[in-house]
Amino acid sequence: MKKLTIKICALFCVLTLFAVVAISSAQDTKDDIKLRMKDRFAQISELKQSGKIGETPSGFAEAVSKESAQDEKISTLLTAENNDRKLLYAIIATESQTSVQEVGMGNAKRYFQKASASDYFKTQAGEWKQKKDMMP
Amino acid sequence: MKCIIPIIAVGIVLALTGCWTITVKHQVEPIYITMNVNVKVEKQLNDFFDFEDQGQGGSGSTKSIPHDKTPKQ
Repeated sequence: MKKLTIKICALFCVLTLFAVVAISSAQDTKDDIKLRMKDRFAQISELKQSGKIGETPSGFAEAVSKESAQDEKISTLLTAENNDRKLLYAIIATESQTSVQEVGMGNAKRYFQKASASDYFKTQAGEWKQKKDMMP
Repeated sequence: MKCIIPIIAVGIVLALTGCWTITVKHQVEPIYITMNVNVKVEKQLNDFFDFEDQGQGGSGSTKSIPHDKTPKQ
């Protein structure tokens, strides 16, 4: 009987440890994403200002022109940025008990509100337009 | 005999109105929940992207415009 109790206690301890590690690693992931996005922020902003990249309605960054899409440096940067956004949206969706799409759309809205008039945004029809041309 | 027809008509109208139900509560609840979720997501996104406001003005692509353009002497 005593051995069984010890075994149950040991199992409980192991499970608790796993839970603590899982929660802490999830938190690390969000912090890691933030650090990586922070590092890329200046480059992303520069590309947005020059009109080479823009924002989509689903909350991801994309090359505006074919030339920009073919640029290896830009495509590598966009892949890294969008991978991190995907991870972030998934984490926030889990925390807020909503869908990844909903979070993405929320972020797209946030980007639109904060953008300058010359920034590019993709319409639902797939057309690229500057913010100033989208305003009523 | 003439009085029976209006009485029956009134009876039918009363019987029909007794069957009406109002379903306002079911329409309001989902809107409240959706708004709650949106506010929560918005707050989480704003908290996460706080570095955008710290580094540069606006989304990063926006630059702060100096308001005072008077030349310094």
